[in-house]
Amino acid sequence: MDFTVPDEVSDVCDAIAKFIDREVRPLEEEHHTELVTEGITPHLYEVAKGVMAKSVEAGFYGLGMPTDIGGGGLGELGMCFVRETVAGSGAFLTMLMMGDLPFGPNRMLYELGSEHQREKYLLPLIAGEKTTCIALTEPDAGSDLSGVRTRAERADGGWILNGQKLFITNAPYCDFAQVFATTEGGHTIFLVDKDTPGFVVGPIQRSMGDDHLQSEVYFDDCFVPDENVVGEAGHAFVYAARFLSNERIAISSTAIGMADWLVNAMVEQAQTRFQFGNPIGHNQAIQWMVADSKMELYAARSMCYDTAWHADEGDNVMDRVAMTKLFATEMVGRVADRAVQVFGGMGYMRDCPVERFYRLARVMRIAGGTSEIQRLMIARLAGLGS
Amino acid sequence: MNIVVLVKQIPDPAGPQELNADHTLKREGKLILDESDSYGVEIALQLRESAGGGDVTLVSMAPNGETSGLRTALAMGADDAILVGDDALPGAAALTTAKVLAGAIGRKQYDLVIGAVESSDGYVGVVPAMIAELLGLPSLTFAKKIDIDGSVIRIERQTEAGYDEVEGALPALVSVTAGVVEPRYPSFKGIMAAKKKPLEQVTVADLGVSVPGFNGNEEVTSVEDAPARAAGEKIEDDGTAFERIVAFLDEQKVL
Repeated sequence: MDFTVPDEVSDVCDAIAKFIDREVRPLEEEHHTELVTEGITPHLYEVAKGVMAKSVEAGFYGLGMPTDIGGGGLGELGMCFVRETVAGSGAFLTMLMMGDLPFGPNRMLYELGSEHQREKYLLPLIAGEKTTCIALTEPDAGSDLSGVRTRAERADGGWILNGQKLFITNAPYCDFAQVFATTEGGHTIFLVDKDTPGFVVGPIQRSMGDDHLQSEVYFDDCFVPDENVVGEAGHAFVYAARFLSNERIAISSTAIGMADWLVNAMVEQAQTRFQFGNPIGHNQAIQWMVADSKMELYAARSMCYDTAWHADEGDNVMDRVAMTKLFATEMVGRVADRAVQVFGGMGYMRDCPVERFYRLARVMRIAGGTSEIQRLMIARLAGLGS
Repeated sequence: MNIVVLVKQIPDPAGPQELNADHTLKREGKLILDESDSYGVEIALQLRESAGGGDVTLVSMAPNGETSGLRTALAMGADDAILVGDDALPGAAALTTAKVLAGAIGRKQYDLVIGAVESSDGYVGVVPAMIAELLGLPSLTFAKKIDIDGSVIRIERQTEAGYDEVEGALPALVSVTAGVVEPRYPSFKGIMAAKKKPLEQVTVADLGVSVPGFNGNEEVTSVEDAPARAAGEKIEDDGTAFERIVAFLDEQKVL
């Protein structure tokens, strides 16, 4: 296997880095106070959508989607380098820039979407004209998806949905939702337009990471036409496993980009912060925190590239994905913790980006499958448990 | 409309820079598109679009056969490129550079040659005018805006006080200032398309250019660090500090 960054990927990463410097950093500076004190407000979401629109125009949006619908055709490994570049920039307002899950186009809609769904949902997604969300989690259905209580009953020409979802990222802002519901004989995915009667979005659920992108959604006798069923009824979890699990590679490479940024910040702080007459980096205690972080970052990066490379080869990567997601997201948590320690009191302050990374890193061990679920999967794939 | 854009590939200004023993800049490894030239590329692309067709050709000179910077400009939308590479070129003086680039430009049919006012690494600022002289072209410099009307080119020439309107006949050479347009980003599709675009690599001998010696009559005799900034003067305000400040500014002739 060869992890050399191809020239074209290196070039697009350089272009993306320049885009962030030119288009995003000035916005972060302009809205610094609002970002630090309030996080992503509806106003700042609009600012991030402006970044998204420019990214679409510049040809950076949906790079991982197939070329026949306007994507870049980059594989998982290529996207690792791209995501590292974006996350490694340390810029918050890049969150919509690449069109990653759940906001933008995804492989499930590409592979399974009907002509109607392609025209009405997928193409507007890749054009940046719409955003979406994935409405899966419920009060009694988190890691255990079989607990989904949202129910869809057959009706004339379609289905009637009733139920409740929560922590749905981008629900407050999306144009349509991809909703997992229980149907007779299994679970089914529905595309539900935001303005559908009976589809109610609750207030924003404020989060530790200050992204404030989540809300509850309710379905109250919400009618969804047959043409909005994704693939075949009853196959939702097969589709989710097949098309959405690679989100974990995306989370891993984002964690790696964040850790890379944190390590660089730690090194700079260790070289420039003087105590007792010397840079604090002269102290072995600080050196070891940096050394351990670099080592773990290297390990996570190697795992992620290997997993992505195998995914691009068409190999079954279920165990690799689980191991990588587990290690990379726990790694960035440890690195962020050390970074706060190296920065000392400053690292505890809202004005210090390290503090934000520390909070943002926390959700990565939960979103996209908790660390415990990853361990469970690894053990099961090793032949243990039921 | 066929346009030639002079493009320099330079070491990344964000990285550490080193000098050779002869005090010239080390140009090893990856070289990137000089930011100054990205404006010329963008203007050329816009002029081509306005004209409804034609080619934008990049002309560059690099000591190590490096093409990264050219690939960036091709990905922005230029059609083809000529790269002059020659073992004898490192350290070439301005006149030699101008002769070599003029020789490369002569391989194309062109209506307009565009260059940056100066490069971001050398800051010599005479190469475009030298090329115009060598090719017998009108030289329009410091352009912040370009209009083409048939065979006439009109520019707004940046001055300290504002701008002059300057007119010339095509074919012509024009040097453009930085910041006049917003250079487009090389998209991934553009980057992939650039891989298939013609990039002709030639040597000085291929161009039939006669240069007396690559270093010409220029020599960098020494390089010194910029003087450290002197400590400022602290004024304790006893109620008359403003007078001292006004006097200081007056002394500096900024009032």
